[in-house]
Amino acid sequence: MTTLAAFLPELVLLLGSLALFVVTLGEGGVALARKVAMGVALAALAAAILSLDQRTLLFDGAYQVDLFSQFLKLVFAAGFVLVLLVGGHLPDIRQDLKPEYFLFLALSLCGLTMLVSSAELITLVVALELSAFPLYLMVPMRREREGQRVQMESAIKYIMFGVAANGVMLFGMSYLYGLGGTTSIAGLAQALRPMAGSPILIAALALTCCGLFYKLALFPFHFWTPDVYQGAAHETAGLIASLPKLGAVAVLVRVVSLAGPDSQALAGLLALLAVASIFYGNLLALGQQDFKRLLGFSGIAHAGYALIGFVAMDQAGYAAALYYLTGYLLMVLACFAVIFLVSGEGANVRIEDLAGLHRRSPLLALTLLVGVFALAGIPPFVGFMGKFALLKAALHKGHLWLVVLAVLNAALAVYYYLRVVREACFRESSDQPPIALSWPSRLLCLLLIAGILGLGIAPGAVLDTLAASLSP
Amino acid sequence: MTEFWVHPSLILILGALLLPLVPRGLRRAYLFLVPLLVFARVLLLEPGTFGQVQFLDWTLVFGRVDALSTVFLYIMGLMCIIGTLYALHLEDWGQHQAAWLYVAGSLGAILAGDFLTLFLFWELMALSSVFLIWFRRRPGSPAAGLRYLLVHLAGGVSLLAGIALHCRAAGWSFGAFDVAHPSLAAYLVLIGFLLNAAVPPLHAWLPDAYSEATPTGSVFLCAFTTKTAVYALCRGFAGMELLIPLGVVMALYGVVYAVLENDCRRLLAYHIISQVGYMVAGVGIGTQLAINGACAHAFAHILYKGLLFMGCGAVLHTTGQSKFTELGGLYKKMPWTFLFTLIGGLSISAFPLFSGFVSKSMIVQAGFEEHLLWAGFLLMLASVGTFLHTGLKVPYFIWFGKNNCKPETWERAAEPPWNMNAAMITASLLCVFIGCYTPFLYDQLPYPVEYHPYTAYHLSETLQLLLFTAVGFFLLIRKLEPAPTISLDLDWFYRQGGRLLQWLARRPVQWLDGGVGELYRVIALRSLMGAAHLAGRFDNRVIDGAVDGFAQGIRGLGGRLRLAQRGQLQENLTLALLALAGLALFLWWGAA
Amino acid sequence: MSGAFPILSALIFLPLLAAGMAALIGQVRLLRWWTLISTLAIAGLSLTLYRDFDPSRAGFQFAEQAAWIPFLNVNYTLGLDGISLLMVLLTTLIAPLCVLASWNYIAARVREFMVCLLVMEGAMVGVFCALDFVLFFAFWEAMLIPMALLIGVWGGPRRVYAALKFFIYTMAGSVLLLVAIIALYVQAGTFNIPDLMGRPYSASFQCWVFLAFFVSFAIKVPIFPFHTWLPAAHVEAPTAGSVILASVLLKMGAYGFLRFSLPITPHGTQVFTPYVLWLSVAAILYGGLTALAQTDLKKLVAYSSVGHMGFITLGIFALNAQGIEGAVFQMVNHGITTGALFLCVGMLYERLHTRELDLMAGLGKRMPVFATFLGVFCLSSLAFPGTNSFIGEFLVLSGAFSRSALLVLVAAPGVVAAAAYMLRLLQRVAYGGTHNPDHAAVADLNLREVLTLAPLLLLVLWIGLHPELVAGLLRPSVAHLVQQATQAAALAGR
Repeated sequence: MTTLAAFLPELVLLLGSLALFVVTLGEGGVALARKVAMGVALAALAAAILSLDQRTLLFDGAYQVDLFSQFLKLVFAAGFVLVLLVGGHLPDIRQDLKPEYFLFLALSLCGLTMLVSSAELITLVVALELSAFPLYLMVPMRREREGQRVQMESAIKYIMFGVAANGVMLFGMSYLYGLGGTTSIAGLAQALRPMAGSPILIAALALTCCGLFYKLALFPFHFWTPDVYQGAAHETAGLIASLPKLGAVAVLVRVVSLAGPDSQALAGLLALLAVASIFYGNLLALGQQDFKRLLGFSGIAHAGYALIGFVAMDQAGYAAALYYLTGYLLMVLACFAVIFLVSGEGANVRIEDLAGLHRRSPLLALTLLVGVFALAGIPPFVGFMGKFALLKAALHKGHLWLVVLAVLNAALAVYYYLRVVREACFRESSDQPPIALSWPSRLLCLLLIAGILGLGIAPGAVLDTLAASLSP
Repeated sequence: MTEFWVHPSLILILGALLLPLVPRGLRRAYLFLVPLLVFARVLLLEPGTFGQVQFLDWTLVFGRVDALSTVFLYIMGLMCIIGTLYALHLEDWGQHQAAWLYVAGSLGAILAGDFLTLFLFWELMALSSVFLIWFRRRPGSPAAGLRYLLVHLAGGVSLLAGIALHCRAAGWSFGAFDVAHPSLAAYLVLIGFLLNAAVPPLHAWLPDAYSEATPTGSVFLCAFTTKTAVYALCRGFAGMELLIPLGVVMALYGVVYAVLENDCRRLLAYHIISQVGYMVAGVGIGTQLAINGACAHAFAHILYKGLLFMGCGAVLHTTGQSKFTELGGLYKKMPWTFLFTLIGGLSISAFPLFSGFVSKSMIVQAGFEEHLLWAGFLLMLASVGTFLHTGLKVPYFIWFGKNNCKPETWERAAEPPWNMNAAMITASLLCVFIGCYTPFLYDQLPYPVEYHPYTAYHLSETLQLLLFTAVGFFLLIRKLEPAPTISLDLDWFYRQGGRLLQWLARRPVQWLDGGVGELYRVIALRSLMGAAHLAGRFDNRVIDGAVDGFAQGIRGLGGRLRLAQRGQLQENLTLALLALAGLALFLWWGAA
Repeated sequence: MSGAFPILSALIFLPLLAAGMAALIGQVRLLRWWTLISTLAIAGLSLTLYRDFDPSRAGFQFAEQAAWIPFLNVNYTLGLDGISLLMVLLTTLIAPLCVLASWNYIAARVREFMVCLLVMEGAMVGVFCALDFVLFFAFWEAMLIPMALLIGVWGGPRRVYAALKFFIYTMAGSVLLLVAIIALYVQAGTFNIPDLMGRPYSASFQCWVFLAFFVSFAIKVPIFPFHTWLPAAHVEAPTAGSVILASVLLKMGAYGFLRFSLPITPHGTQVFTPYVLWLSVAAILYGGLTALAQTDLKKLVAYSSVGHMGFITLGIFALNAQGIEGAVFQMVNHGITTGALFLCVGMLYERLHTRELDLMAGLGKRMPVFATFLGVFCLSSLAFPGTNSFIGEFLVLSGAFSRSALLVLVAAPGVVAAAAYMLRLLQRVAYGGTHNPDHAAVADLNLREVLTLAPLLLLVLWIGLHPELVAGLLRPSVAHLVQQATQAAALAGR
């Protein structure tokens, strides 16, 4: 029974997926599919809340249910709801595929929820793929309009990169297995402790991480990001940009902790990657015109920031990274929600298209303002607190230069975020019609704003929970 | 304040502030009343220290009344009445306000018992007086005012610096400095004072400003700034040898340039320098007699110089001309003005029975008593020059002499309004009265006076000097016009002599002063504004440019890097795997 | 003071609350009145601070403390000493005047404007009250958003450029501050500002931290040559924005020096003082000269701020009681006077829609009341004896004197220049030159505008004639500060 209770969120999602599958068999019940999906999401949320305090090992140690996993499942469920809200009626998805879209969405979420619980390499890979493949399929589902086949290209890129990264990851895992003689992460931790710091171990870990770096869109596995963001439909891009990254970070915690508390080499490697992707993302974002592309590059930079927490290699760092990603989820969803609502029937949004947004829809302008300033790391929004926690953790371990470079980049990044604000708030629009918001989208905006503010002003609870969940 | 004690300046300041509210009908009465009130207040001052105010960690003394300050207060109050009376016809109440604030500053500075208060009123004088120049509203006025202002503010800064230094050492109270071994502080303060006293080479502001001021304004200007400085010198630097040569130089310097001037008000302005020179010299000598002389001369000088400025002001007011070459023969048109100006001229040139005679001679006498013969004689020489140009040249070229008036000037010329005449009458009567009834002046002086001007020797000496000067003047005048009857050799002698004098005066000396004036003009204004514009451009170009340029640079970098990501799948994959290999190498290196 | 009414929190959050309310009000007149009344109420509340403050104690009063983020060891700590009290009072006083100044000036998007204004006020009060470094930084950064909006939305023609420049420049300045804060935490294990003071950090560490502080504070002050954002922002911002900038924001840099640089890194301060002093002198001269060159009224006042702030830093880094006392005086005075001058400029702009000095010649004839106000504020700005600025400037000068007479003698021309440009301004505007434009249509100040300027005029004269009003509050705090700086310097010396 406890087993059932512990496995509840996954079950809900699996059953929901089945239900959605059934719906897809029927003729074009988009509204129905959406209702079902929303129901599933809410049910998953409820289930996650219910099973929050479950602690157990399932499937003889392959599946670990602890505060860490349960908390993240809660976040995923919430994110699921938000994504559905953002997606709305999927205006930019091919009409005949909309129900399937919901199905894949649910499946991908299911994969993510399993990902955070998987305590064993094989399970981990399976969960990872389960969360990834639906996304591969969702990218090309974007509605075709004349001169827009870019989604296909994006999908190919996404898949190719994914496959390559997974290959590298499996290669690394094989090393881990070879070194530790087991695939259970706990067992590996035991077995690898004596050889902590040996180059071979580091190499194995680094290679393993690559797959996750790819999901996190971290340098050097970032190349797909802007193209996919640009090519995929807004709702898909919003999903790709938010939830999988959190999942990747969650797994990264487990993997990196294998290296032992103080592995200078790995720390150095991670620091290098962090700085590289922060600089790369920010510098390239400076010149972007397409808002989603810009978000893609800024996403690269933010992945770099998240990695700073891992450079610290202690609970404080991991907690900070997870907290930051949770916040990032909200911020980026806020931006995508605005894109989605501004673009109407789903055309890509250039930054200039935001001009006069304050007049067309003050609420959207406010949402964008909050989201963008949060991304820029200005208090009192969550972006600032997250950066602060990360930097504090890193500096506590003495990574001064990493921290200095990171903050300098924060100053550098402000420029392109302000470009968005300038268009949205300072510029006057060329007599575009006002945007009418349905009440769910209003609710969504308010929820996002409240979340970004609340997580920024009162992060105590979240951080404590994360810290507690990380303590062995 | 411990007890109720009305500061005279307070009356004036309030009066000035309330002036705009007074209905037009009552304004003249009001204008007349306030100075009278002030004068009455001044008369009622008892000796002592009043108006002490605790201000942060030091006490301000607003009222320090003693023998020295009383004299100056008395004459300043008197001059305030006369000046206001003279300006009574003005509708432009701004001028009255400025003038009264200016007088208030002077009175306050004289009453000040500590340096901070002194500085306060000192600045008030500078800032209010500048408006007397601006109010003339001629194209040149703003620039002239700004020059005047800058110089005085510079003086003020030097004064403030000196005060700040001095007060660390010797506390706040405003008393005599150690003139035997003056400190840096003392010199800084002294510079501040000397600048207001227009001691060369710090004098150039004076003729420049006073000739630019409004006719009524210059009457005030000529009285207060320099005399307040003289008071401050008496208070602070009595007996400082340095001042004697300075004073003598002033006296001669002023005279020489007065001789050369064509604008009657510039002439009078230069002449102030000369007269103040006597006082500075007196302060430098520093004996009781000398100090008395300085005070007495200041007292007398304020009256007759005011009178002279009033006269020329009246001419300027009616004719709109102040250049000798534009005037002449006006005695038919404005006889009264002529009479008063003549009285002024006689007093200034120390003619017996006129005020200058009883005051100026005291200083000269003091000089001789101290065995500073050179000083004494040079001062006498200066007084000859004084008589030459002010006593004779001014009246002659304006009221007699060849009539150079343009017809319209001639038409406009007439007696000035009654109030101007009234003011001039008052001043003239006082000049004569002081000259005839010495106790009136002498009893007010800070030290007991046992000096008697009307001795046979002194009389005869003065009269001889004046007589010879007068004869010389009229001879020169006549010889400047062709007169066939005169024999050639004399003619030649006179003409050559005249030419020589003229040449000497014009070329080197004129050039020198012109140089000083120009220098000061350039330093005061052009260089400053030039530097200002330079700084402005620097700010726009260099600093702004640097910051914005830096930002642009980073943006450009981003723009270029952007091209690295062309979305070529194969290319990207290769790049990624290359990077991976690079990292592996890095690890290897890191581990080894 | 636990259990007492948390007045500081009230002062921080009431404006935010009022902003929340304002966001719900649709009707414009009501909105204006609501903002005005709430700001006035807050100002009134802040006056109780003045009443309850115990000037004899040097420590922090009205203290409030609560755990905020235990995981990061960040607390919600508030408190006031004499210096910050003055700054808070200045802020709460300025806010209602800003509302009055924008009464008709702001026609479009009034609600957003008022919200920004109120949020701004809350953030500014927070900056001065915060005793936890992270809390301080949060307010310090959060302030940028409403300010940038004020400039960028309601500003002049080049407002976008000005807003972006202001935001990026000041933010870039303060990122290193964050690093310094964390570094201090790593050393001392706390973010509590009083606990960070007087610890024996190593000399080199102090120097680095001081530099990090310096960059961010110097940009805020701004010290020459970091001032370039200021003219742009000042000129483009709407009247209320310029007033807030001049009166409060610029003070934050100076406040930062006083609150952090001197007590926390006394050794670093000792090391870098000479350079800062000379930079200040440069700022005084440079600001004076540049202001003299301006024909745009607002630019002129803006550059004059550079000069005045130079005086403030000069006083602070004289590192003696007189200098610092004078500096705080000047912080208050500059807040009052320059704020008032910007208000005056705004009033002229509302009438003439130009800021060109020449086009305003001879307005005094048409608007005598205005001319009177302007005259007093100009005199105060050039530190005329009897006005508020004189005493502050005098204290600064004599404080700097005891450090080096040369400094003051070099800075002296700046004083002259200050007088020169201010009187030039006054003479042009009030009395005009020879060919005045026709201002027949221009009306004199109305009651609202008089009410806007009157309190500042009152303060100018009151502080000028009775400086105890200010001096009494800050003497013990300043003495404590000086003693901290010197004593801790000795600590670091060993």
